[in-house]
Amino acid sequence: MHLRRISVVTAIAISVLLLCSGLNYGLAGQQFKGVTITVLVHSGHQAVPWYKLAEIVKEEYGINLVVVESPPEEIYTKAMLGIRSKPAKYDIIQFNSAFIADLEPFLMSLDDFIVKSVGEGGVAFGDILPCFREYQDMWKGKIYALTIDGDIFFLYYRADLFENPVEKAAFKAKYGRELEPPKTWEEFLQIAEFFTRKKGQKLCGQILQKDFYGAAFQLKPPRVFYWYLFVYWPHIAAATKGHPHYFDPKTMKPLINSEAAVKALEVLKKATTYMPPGVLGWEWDECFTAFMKEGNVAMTIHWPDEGKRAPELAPLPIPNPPKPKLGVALPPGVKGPDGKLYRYTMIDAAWVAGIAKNSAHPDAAWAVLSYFCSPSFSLERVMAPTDYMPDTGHDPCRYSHIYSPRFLALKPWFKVMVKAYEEAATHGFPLLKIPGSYEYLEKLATYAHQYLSGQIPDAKTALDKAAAEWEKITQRFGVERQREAYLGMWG
Amino acid sequence: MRVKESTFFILPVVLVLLVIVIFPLIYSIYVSLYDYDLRKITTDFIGVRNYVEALSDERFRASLMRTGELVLMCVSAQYLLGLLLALSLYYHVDRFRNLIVTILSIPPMISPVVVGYMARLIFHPVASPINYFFELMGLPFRPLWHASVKTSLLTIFLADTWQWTPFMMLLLLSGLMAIPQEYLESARVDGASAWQEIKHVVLPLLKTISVVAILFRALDVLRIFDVVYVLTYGGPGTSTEVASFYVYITSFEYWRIGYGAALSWVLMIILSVLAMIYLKYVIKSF
Repeated sequence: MHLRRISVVTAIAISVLLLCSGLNYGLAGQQFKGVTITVLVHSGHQAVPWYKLAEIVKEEYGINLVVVESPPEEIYTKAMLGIRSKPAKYDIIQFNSAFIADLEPFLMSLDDFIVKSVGEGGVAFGDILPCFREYQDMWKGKIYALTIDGDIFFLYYRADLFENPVEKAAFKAKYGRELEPPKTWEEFLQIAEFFTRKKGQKLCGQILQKDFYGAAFQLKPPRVFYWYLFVYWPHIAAATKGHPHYFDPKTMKPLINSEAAVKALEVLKKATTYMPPGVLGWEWDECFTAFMKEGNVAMTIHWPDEGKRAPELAPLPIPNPPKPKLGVALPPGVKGPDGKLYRYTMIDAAWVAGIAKNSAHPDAAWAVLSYFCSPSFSLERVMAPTDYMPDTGHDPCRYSHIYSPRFLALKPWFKVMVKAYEEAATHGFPLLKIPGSYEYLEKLATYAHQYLSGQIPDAKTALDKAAAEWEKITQRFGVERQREAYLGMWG
Repeated sequence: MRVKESTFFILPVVLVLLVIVIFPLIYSIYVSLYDYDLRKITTDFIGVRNYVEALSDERFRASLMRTGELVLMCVSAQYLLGLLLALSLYYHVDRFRNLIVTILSIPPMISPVVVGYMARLIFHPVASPINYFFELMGLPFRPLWHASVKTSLLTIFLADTWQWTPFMMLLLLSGLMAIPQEYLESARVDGASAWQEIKHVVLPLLKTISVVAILFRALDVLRIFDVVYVLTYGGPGTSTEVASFYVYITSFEYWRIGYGAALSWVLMIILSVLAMIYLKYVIKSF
């Protein structure tokens, strides 16, 4: 009896000890068990990796990740309304970094997390390409976000066409120089004119089966401002000897109606004469389809999608076309009076993610965000679709992406993009990122488009109107406030 | 006892009206008196300054003119075509009338956003099937449709007319079918021709339903947004920027909620005055 009692007590004690140790083990592995983190994300395929992450953080940290999808045009409103409340409705928001000035009062600076976390919490901030690091993630010298999607622009050209001996000889005979991807906008216009031909004329020595165009852009409002800025930035850089700006940093006087800006808009209008009809109404689909699927456009400037989908490039519209080959380069620049070539690409404001200042669980939010933006998880995101990850729509943004052996093994056609990314990393310029940025850019788009479509007959009048609107916006926000934000935009 | 019961039955509707109609209306007046900008942390009372800005806003005035142009084009064309269709169905189609009416009722049931996307394909500057038919018929024009300032508003008009002419037809056909047969028989007995019958008997009797149909469509076209947003986004340039679209981008793209509210109220006042003049004139002529 006595022995039986001792045995029972011992068994109970051992069971309790085992239970406690199991519990402790579980708790140690699930640091944020029971915590719910809500993330506002871009709907559709961009939401896919967040759902994947939800499974991971549940297992690793015990976090319940609630993913709230929103169409991109509604993200700003939802984010603004959601993170102003206390506690914030969303702990993490995916947002367009163009709105950082508006969102900053309600976002947590990530510097402390990055500096104080062992191994920077796994985000390897220095691995992010400088153009994204500086122009998307930072504001007034502080880190407020981490890049999710490395939206950037490249000049794509038909390398199969540019390398064709018949075309090379004809071009040299006409212009006295080799046919190469354009380095300047002047060269771009020459090449675009050279390649614009009607059905029945010859291309590569063969009869064209449909009309062929020198270039195509995506010029439907409001995004037309992108394609104007590709021309504006190097022009203003050349005019100011390498100090391009949207505003005079001292006075906040808009520079978008300067002589260089007017010249840039005239160049863009000239370029449209070598583009397919209706290009003023083109969105992403039309531009991608014309260049990649129809194969009847020689050059375009677009996001990384063309490079990521290089195998889909259609053959030239001739009876015996060469094997389709994609070329990638920086968009054209302008040679300044100093003889220097000013050449840039735009760092699209694009998609970044940050933590709400009013988040009830900032540490848990950081655990989620740092995992999502870690080099390893982000590599899988930008390589998608793969067996591990369905399509996400995310583009490379790190050195570890563009040099990844796994990426280049799985998608060998991406090699054509590597050099372009290397150049772009240190030749980027940011979209305007001060309060009201979208209004400034939309107004610029409206008047630029009025000129391109013929509603306003001359570029100077159109840009004067845009500049007048910019002045009104600046006055409305306060000149000094905008100036402080504008200087903060550059770090 | 009966009064209490009736109050109980209408209370839910009254509550819904209060919440989704009355409160937003009153709140929007309140908001329009403030410099309410979602991008700003503080909001200041500015009185009628938003209204003064609205009245001097060149772009808003241009959008109003454009909207008026579209209303005149759409309502006239849709009324005439709808009337023609209704008369044809009434006088010349008997056996398959219901089937034809059912088929013609499909376009108004389609979401305007879908119509906008369909229009992007049908009126594509390069791949438009309409341009293809022009080519087959040997006609020299290849309009750029929504991609040209010359034809963009026309494209919106065509898309809207395709969708809403059947609605006009349905209203007018119901008016025709409500005309007592004795009136038409009397006219025929008196020797009236078909045209005389329509002019002197049918059209006057269709006046009431015509007033309603025209007013409905006019108010609808004044609010047009979906097709514009999807098809042209107000472009090329601002050639299709109608008033409701301008109010939308001011409120939800520029985030100037206060100014957007003021624009909405200016638009509402203009529409109310026009509707009152129209109804007063029409009722006077009855």
